[in-house]
Amino acid sequence: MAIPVPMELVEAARAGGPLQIEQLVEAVWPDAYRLARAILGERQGAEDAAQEACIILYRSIATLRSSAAFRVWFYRIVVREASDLKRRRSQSEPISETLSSRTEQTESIDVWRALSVLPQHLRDVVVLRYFEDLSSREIGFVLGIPDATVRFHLAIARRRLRPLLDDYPPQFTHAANEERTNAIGL
Amino acid sequence: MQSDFSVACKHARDLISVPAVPLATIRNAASYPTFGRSTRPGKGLVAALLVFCSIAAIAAGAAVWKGQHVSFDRSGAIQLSGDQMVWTKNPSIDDLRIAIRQAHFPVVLPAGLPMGSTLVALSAGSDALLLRYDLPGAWRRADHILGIVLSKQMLSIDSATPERGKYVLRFVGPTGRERDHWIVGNETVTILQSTLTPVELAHIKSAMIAQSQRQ
Repeated sequence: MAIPVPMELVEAARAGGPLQIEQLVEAVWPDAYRLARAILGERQGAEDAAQEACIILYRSIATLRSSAAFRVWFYRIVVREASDLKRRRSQSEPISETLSSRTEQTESIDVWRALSVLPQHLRDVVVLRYFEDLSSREIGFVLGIPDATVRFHLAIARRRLRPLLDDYPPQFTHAANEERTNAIGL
Repeated sequence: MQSDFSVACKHARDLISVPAVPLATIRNAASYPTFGRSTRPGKGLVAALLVFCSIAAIAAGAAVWKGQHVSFDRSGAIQLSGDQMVWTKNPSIDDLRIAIRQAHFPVVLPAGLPMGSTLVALSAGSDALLLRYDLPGAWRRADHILGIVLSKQMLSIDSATPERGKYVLRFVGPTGRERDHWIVGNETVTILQSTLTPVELAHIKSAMIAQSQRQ
């Protein structure tokens, strides 16, 4: 599970101490950056989006009503900032071009290439599901859409990705079945 | 090749190298009031600013000073001259970040401004930044703009005549005159005339000095 932030740290940051807030920022920074990078596909934009999200965290953590909601709350901020940045930078590079240059990551290239074929709303859902291990319900909270819509988007994404991911059938198919089972309430 | 898409995604995620957390920048920006785009009509702003430039480059939105020189003319109005500078109306935080990155001096942003102050214009060059804020409070409506010039410490604030052939941004009227200036780190902060109260001005000064010490 991503963002393994101790609850005490969130509680302390909510109490308003700048030192505690900075400790929290340091703790969540790697996850914020990785999530933004997965959504945006480029380093500079990801750094900007993660930084922006951390600034919002710094300013607004005191307004968070429950520490238990921190994870989804922060994911929502990161996703929103990354999406806004992407919208503003319509001329940004596609994911495949940026990440395929990382020669040391030959095993992961297919994942990035697969993600690059998805439109933004499907990519967000896939990233949150498979990179961040969020449930459909949590993804719904993060993206502000019903969890049924999340499952629908995941199904569409899987259908589009399937031809590209023939090397990943077992658990990918299993996950699809699980989602389908959830969708029909079994 | 891994046989599990989910595992492959997590593997790909773990392989993303994470840069160091820019804590100072985050702290600095978080202590800054508002970066939101102004909802105030631009017409009123333009009228209040009374800014004009000797060259029409400003009208193109991307003018021009490099190696800026900050000076005051005989009337006491501030003027900036140089070769290259970028002017942005209603700048976003990205615009500000770019300006800070391109500055040739460690920028200490204004802090301690009255709550609700909004950045409405940014003129950025390598040696000087001019930030204009819309101050909150209905009582200020007649004069609600605050100009702050951040410049390299080595830049003298004098009354020298700008070099011939340079672009000049000159402010006229009361809002173009210096009210106070001080030095934080390697930066000279010049506060232009505005409706800031003495307490608000003192608060800005102490907040910026404290901020520069934290950095």
